[in-house]
Amino acid sequence: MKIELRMGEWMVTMGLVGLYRVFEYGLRKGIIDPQHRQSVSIHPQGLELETEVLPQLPRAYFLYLIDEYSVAKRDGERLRHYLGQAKKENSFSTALSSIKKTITDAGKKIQKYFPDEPVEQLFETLKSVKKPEQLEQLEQCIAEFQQLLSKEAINEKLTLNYFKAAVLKSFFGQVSFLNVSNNNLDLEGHIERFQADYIIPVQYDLQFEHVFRSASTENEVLHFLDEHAEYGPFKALKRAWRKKKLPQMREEMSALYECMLFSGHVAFYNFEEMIFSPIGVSTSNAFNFNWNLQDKQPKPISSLAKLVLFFAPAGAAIYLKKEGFQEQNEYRMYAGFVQSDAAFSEILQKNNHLKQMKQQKDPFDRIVSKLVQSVTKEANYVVDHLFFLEFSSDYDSKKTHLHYYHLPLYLARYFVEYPGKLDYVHYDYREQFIQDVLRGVDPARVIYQYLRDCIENGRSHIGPYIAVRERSRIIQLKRGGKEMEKTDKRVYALYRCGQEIRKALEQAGSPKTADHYSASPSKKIIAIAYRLLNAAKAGDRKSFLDTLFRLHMSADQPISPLFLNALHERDLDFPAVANAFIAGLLSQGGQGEQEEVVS
Amino acid sequence: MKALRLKLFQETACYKKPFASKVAETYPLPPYSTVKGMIHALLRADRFIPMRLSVQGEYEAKLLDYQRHYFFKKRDVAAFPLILDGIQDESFSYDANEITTMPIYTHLLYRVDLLIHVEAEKEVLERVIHAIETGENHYSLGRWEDLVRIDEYKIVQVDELDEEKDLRYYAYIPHHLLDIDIKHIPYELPWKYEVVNGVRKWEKVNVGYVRKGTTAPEGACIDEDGELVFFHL
Repeated sequence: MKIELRMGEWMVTMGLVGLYRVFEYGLRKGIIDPQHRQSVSIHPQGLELETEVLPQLPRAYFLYLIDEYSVAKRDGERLRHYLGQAKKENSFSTALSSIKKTITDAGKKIQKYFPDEPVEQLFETLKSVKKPEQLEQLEQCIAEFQQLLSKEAINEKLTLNYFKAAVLKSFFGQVSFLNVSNNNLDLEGHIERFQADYIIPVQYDLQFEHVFRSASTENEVLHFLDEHAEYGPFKALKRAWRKKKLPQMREEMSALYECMLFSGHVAFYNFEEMIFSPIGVSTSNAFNFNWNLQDKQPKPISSLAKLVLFFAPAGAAIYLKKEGFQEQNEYRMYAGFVQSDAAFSEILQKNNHLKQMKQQKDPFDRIVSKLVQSVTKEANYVVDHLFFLEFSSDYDSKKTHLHYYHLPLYLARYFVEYPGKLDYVHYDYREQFIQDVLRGVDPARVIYQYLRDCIENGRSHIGPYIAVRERSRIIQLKRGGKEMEKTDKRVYALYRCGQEIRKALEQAGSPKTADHYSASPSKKIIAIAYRLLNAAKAGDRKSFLDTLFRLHMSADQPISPLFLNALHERDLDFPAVANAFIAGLLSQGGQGEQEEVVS
Repeated sequence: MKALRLKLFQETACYKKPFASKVAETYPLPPYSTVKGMIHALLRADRFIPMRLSVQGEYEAKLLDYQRHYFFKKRDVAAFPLILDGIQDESFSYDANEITTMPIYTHLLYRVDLLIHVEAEKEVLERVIHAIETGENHYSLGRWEDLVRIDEYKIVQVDELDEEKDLRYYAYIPHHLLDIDIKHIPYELPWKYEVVNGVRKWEKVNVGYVRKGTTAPEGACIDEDGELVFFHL
């Protein structure tokens, strides 16, 4: 039977992308019989699915995820990286402890599930490695461990545990094999559960719809229900329809719930937290979230929709993201997706691209930049309707962070005209900068943080200046994008002013008298930069200009009329003026050439 | 034909999507059911009143609000959490077995301008105007707290568009009007419902969310002041 699966809400589209990826993977690896080659086909509005292929999907699903999140691959890469570090004598000890930790952590898990494996022996050898001279022994240990980890059964079990806990848990509650009571299942056990809980209901429901449509007597319907009496929803129907005639049944059929995600299908399930936890809430604990305090099936969905949603983790790009700055940061697991107003094939292609780039750990700005460049060849319109969606969800704490990043036209232009310009900005700040920009927030706050970091850690870097300049460019483009070069020049001039003042202060040096302590020029500069930054952050123009005037007077330097912008904001806004100057003040010489490279 | 034109403004608004419970996502413009709901509320209607709608508008930005939500764990609870902010010395307590709270992210549209045309029987439109003029409550569109300022209400003459004209606002354009060249984001918007088994079963309208500046498709209408109109039925 052929059924149409139309794109719609992002979670459905994400599920369809996942379904297609798993199907493709299954075919490629020979998990899905080649005779089903045409079973899932791409249409502009979504997918067409031949239901005969359904029973083959669970195995492909698990093997796809095992391949994607292979512990053997991941730990292997990590160990190779540490080993590289261990080869340098001064970083040997840190690398060694990381290696020991990685091996012990995974080793203990192997011991738990595979007590016959020689893990203890490996631990002993590893324990004896202490000095850089034992590098060879260490290499041997790692090789042995990798071999152990790569054994199919071990990799399978550890990877299954990993993606269930780290990935699937942010999408679903304790449904089916995700229930803690099923933790001891092996791969085959998982596949069986998937079949029973997801595939069979779809087959039954679709058959039921078919039988019901084509039935000419009530006996045909009852017979079908009898045949599958073990299936919960049918049991209830059977009881209700036992003594009814076909016309009556038809009447009651129209009173059954219809799927809210795939219209036309009968809905025996409900869209709730356990089915899709990023945005669903529990039906029994949140009555007021449902119309008229409904408690049974307030958001009816079909078994088909439930299945498609279950493929969503394979449709998203999963990555770790650092949130917050410096010490106040936290790594969160995010699922990302690119949604656009385009045919399904294009959405699929863009998401494959996104996943690939995320795997290479490309920074966000470069990802956006690359995705946009493939799009701008078409009408500008498309760019306007490209948006990124990412969410971090935790079923236990029932919390979801969901972000939409829309790409307005001016930003698309920015990414096309100035690709790679943010490369000199420190990775953490660059990510934050670009996310703010995509959210329509002024990234000035990121620049303040960045400058503060530079002051506190005495860093001299071109980064803050680049960030200030790119911010100005974005603002300029937002306003229509005229006189870009002039703005660039103004920002650069302010940056140079800062550099000049620094030079002058350094040259003046501190008076060397035995009686009085006088701070070194660099300390003075730091103190001034702090004061200027605080004024800028607080939007205190007066205090900023006051400090600025004194600074120029003490350095015996003329004041550039560009600083007037801090007051009237005709050519540049106050944060741009202040930050460009502070960036200059913090930058030490010898960066002129670098500046040319990045302009 | 005659239609009632409403120009509305909302400082913030969230036209919540049906599936987005844990994070309240919003449609870019109010769906037809929401606008229909507001008009029915104005009329204090207890049954569906036939009408046609056209929804256009724009917003300045999207923002995130972090709100505390109350979750009812039982259908009948003794306490009902009212918002007590600003009421001094009022303490509110509830049984944790009945009610629990959780902070939830809500996506909000910021500074929303809306242009809405309503076509219905003359008497209905007159009643709407009367309700606007004599209303005692605040007006809201979407959630109860999404206040709306009615900047204009006027009965206008609407005719078929016979020249080329570009959209002044973003608009929902029903599918039957869209031709292949018009780029749009497809939406299935709820319109009206009937209660089946205690749950609302929605009649949906397929529309395209079309950006401003796009040339209006054939079959569109225009009112006497040159505003485009795209009735959904």
